[in-house]
Amino acid sequence: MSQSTHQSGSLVSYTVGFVLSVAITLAAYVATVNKIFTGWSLVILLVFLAVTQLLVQLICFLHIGREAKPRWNLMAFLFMALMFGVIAIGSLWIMHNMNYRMVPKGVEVNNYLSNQDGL
Amino acid sequence: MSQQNEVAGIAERAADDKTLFGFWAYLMTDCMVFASLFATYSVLHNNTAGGPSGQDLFSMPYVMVETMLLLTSSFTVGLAILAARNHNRNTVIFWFALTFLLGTAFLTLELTEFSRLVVEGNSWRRSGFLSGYFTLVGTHGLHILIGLIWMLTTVPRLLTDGFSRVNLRRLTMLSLFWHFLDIVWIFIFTIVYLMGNIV
Repeated sequence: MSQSTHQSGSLVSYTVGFVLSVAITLAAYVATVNKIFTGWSLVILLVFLAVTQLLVQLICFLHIGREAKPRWNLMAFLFMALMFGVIAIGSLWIMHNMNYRMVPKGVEVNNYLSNQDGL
Repeated sequence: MSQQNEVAGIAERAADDKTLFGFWAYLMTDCMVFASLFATYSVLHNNTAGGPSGQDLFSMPYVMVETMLLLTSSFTVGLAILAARNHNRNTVIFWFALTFLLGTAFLTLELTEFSRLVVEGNSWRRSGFLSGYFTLVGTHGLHILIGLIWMLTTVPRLLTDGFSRVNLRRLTMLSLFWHFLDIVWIFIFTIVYLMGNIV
């Protein structure tokens, strides 16, 4: 019988993972739709809940980190997570900066024009 | 078990581990595809070009149903793998059939939403936001479709070949793929739908 690394799950781990995932999804949904939180506090809460659910599913469904050493699957995953952060956060950062520098606000345009034309 | 069988067993297990690691590496690179699509969407999500925003377009209860369908299918595929480990053929087929139905229901809901948006004139040509939305969510939907086709081609082999080593390996990779798609959906649900509802 196969005993390879990805098959170390049990009925308990899958059930726990499922119940927790449903609970977290419902919490995120209710917090958003019923407007229990708003603005940035809601964004932070949603990110926190999504990351929690990611960890729950990684551990309970994908059994990450439960392989024998050396943990190549885990290392590949961590490197991917790093690159994911660089691409996603890096893009947002760069594009935000670009918008900031390239699209001046109305007041700035007026100041610029008045300086240029001496009005 | 004789020593010879034991050696053969270890060699086969090593081959399994190598294949599964290769598949895992593929999943990680697929995450990079989604990383760039998430980045594109996040950059473009305010560029509605005077058109509707996420808040105007998405029905939250509808998306919640989609999410629950996919989440449940991720659970049932796990149960299928547990049954496969016990060589319980009918149970495996039952759970995979249920996973297939849940996945099909999810894809049907998603395509219904897509066609509604297109009919209302809010296709990917409407704005940068909608281009990013259709590319991100559509790519995920395409993966789901591939997963469904994979189930149709792999699970019937249980009837002909039984629980051969190759079949078990295929089913394990399929389950990894399906769990991975559910994890990607968590972030689509959070970033596109839930956060689209506030900002």
